[in-house]
Amino acid sequence: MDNNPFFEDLAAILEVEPGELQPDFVLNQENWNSLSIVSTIVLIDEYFSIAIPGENLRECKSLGELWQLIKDATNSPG
Amino acid sequence: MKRRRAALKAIFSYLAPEKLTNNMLAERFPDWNIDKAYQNTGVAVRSIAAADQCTSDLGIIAAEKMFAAGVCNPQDIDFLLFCTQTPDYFLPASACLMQDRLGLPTSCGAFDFNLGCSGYVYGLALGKGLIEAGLAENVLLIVGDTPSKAINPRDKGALALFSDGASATLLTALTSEDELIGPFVFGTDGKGAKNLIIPAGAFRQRSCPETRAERMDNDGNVRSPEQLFMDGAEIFNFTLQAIPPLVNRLLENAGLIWSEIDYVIFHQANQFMLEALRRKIKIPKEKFALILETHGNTSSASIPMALEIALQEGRIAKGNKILISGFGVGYSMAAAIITLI
Repeated sequence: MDNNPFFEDLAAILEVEPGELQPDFVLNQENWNSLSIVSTIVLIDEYFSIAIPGENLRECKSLGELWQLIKDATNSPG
Repeated sequence: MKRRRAALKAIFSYLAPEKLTNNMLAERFPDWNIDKAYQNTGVAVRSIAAADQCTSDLGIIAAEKMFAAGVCNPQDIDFLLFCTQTPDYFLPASACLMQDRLGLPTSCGAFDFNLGCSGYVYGLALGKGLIEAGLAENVLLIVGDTPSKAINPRDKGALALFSDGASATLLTALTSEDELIGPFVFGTDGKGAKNLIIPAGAFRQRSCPETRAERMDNDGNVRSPEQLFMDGAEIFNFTLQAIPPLVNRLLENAGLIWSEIDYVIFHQANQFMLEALRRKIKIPKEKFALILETHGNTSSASIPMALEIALQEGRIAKGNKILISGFGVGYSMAAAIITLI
């Protein structure tokens, strides 16, 4: 996840250093709230041109889960 | 070909008198990071209607400002359109009471229509239709809401965003070569209704003790089913996906390219979302209206308020082409080109 500009921007949203964003990075009530989720929705739209339902994003417990969600959405045909 | 056209003649707006500042919110919610919320919403101050003040009262003040300025007389108005989701009564239509209070002739047509963020664009379409079909000469379009009355005092997310106000626009008939209001494009996607809604209190789910019971959500915001609920994340998703194609469809229908548009006014929903839309559509900053800081999200009144400010500040002038777009609750959306006279 190093040197990927998406994660550098995501780190800014989560207010951590990009190096901290490893797959086991924990998304909790503190850092994963309505404000950071809407910011991430914009980021995902800008980088991948896809929309992921807010509810699915909210359920992510770790960065790994979030990344998997994005990968699945970008690979799916619709 | 010269023909009968509807034109936008004047706009007068009115923000509710009481103010709710970020400092006041920070005092009320000491554990909440208001600076972060401000970065997102862009709102520094909201306007709040008095306890006995309805949207119709705000709209009447806006219309009376127009009459006092000598733009037209109440007797000249032959149709009143009132767009609100916060009416005086379930029935009758607030527009009927406003006809009497504004001293409009009894020969005047009047009705309410129920839309929020998209309502101003729909109102212009209705007014244009009435005028160009020869059914009216002077249409008074009043739009606005008092969202504060539907927001729980412990729902900080909604409190931080919404603002009470109304705006009055005069549409008038004249003869012109060019279309002055329009073309329009519309859109509706009722699948999104549940994401911005007051679920209970009308006829689908009648008011009862359960619908008045308050619950706290994951973000610590409190509300009952009789109060405003917004799934901000889903509204962001909808807007980012639906609005760029909507406005591009409008330009295609109008036979225009972006460089021929002098100014762009989107419904003032949330600053962060508008900035994301602006970047996505590639609209230059200086052509893009942002009035959230001082006005908040005033629902259907946000577009005419931004239009009025742009006129006052001399950002737009006679002959300019303005692209407007409203989107949100419904989901309902619309966009149009206005040529200033």
